[in-house]
Amino acid sequence: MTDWVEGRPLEEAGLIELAKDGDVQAYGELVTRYRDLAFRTAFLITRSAADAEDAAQDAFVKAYYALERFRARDSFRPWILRIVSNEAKNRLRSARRREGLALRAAEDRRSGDAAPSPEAAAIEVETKEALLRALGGLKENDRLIIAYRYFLELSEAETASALGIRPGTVKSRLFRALDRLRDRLPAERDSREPLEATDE
Amino acid sequence: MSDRMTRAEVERSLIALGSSLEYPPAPPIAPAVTARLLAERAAARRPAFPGLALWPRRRILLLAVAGLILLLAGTAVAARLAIGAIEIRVIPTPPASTPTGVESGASLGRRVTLEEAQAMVDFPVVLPEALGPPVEVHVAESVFSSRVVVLVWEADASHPRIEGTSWSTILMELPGSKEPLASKEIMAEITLQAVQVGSHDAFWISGPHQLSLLTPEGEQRFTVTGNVLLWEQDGTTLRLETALPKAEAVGLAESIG
Repeated sequence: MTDWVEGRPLEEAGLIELAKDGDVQAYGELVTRYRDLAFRTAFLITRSAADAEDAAQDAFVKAYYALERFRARDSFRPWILRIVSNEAKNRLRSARRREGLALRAAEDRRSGDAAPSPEAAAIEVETKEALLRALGGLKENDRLIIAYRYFLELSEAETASALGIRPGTVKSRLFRALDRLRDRLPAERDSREPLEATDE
Repeated sequence: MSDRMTRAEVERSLIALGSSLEYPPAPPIAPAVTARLLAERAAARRPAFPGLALWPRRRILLLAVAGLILLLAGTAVAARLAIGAIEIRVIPTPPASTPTGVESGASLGRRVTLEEAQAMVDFPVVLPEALGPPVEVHVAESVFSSRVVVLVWEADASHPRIEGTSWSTILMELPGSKEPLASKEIMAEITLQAVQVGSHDAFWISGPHQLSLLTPEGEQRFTVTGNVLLWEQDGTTLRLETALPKAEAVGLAESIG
């Protein structure tokens, strides 16, 4: 019934073709591959783990029935992200309770745990919190374009697809969103410039 | 000396922030999605069946997760896969190179007598009248701290052997809820039919098929060679695996009680 071969996962295009033919198991494999990205995307929008879960699930079900409209030469990732984003936004409108903060910065690791990555170590906890607060105050579109680009690390084209905007406008929108974010950040760089401020 | 962060600084900080964000753990979405798709397909084939398609999404997901937990409990100790395999299949259908009988016995849980089994569980152990006494009885512990009874019968003239196993019939009896019912079998990509066992809604999964489960280690595949009938009656979930075709399997199932 399928072309599955133990230990030899099919390439994505093959999975999509199987899924188009009604192979639900092959589709499940695709879902698995995109689960984390879909869930995180939905979570960034809904700020609720339960809503994100439902949104991602609904999106994958809808996408299955829409597969025949998916063109083989396109990339699956932005296509599914668009569906997930729309589903999450719909859920946002019919909102239930939102978690206070969209995101929580990871707690500092207990000693003995793996050391944080250099990037993570390079940013002060206060700065993280200030950024999160500032992000929380932004309008949805600003918040999302920043989250897609810097947190989910989507390309400009993928960001455009997920937001449903033209690729050419991503850069300018992102700049404006960053400026509005900067406006919301407290000006408190003094403590981070010891070389200028020391009293030696 | 204070001024606001430059755009480049903000970008660097955002990237750093992104690498230290914690998201809620992503739930196992794929089992729920495939369950819904299969249930909708089954419902379309037989609209009268009011089963899975009408269940709330989150419930299906929870059930899928329950199946996942069961599997993980089993895979933690490879030799006792059967506990986790409760919803996959009872007897390993090993690759051709693996002897069948040795492993399957070990994987069924503790071997006991029928009387001992009855004393160990809270639900009545039921038997099909159409078969004689089971040749073996096993009791397996499940992660829900409830026990599962597994009964097996040898093949005879009218009950052919399930390919890859030593037996013609494998009956699992699970206490209580529908939870085990929904999790795994419905994830098979093969034919899933809604049928009736007496007045009970049941699933019929026919023919050799592969079952697929998602675990933190990745996808796990299993081969089930028998036909499987799943239903619930009087508060007990029953899973009957047999080589018989549907009508006869349902007849066998209806003789249980």
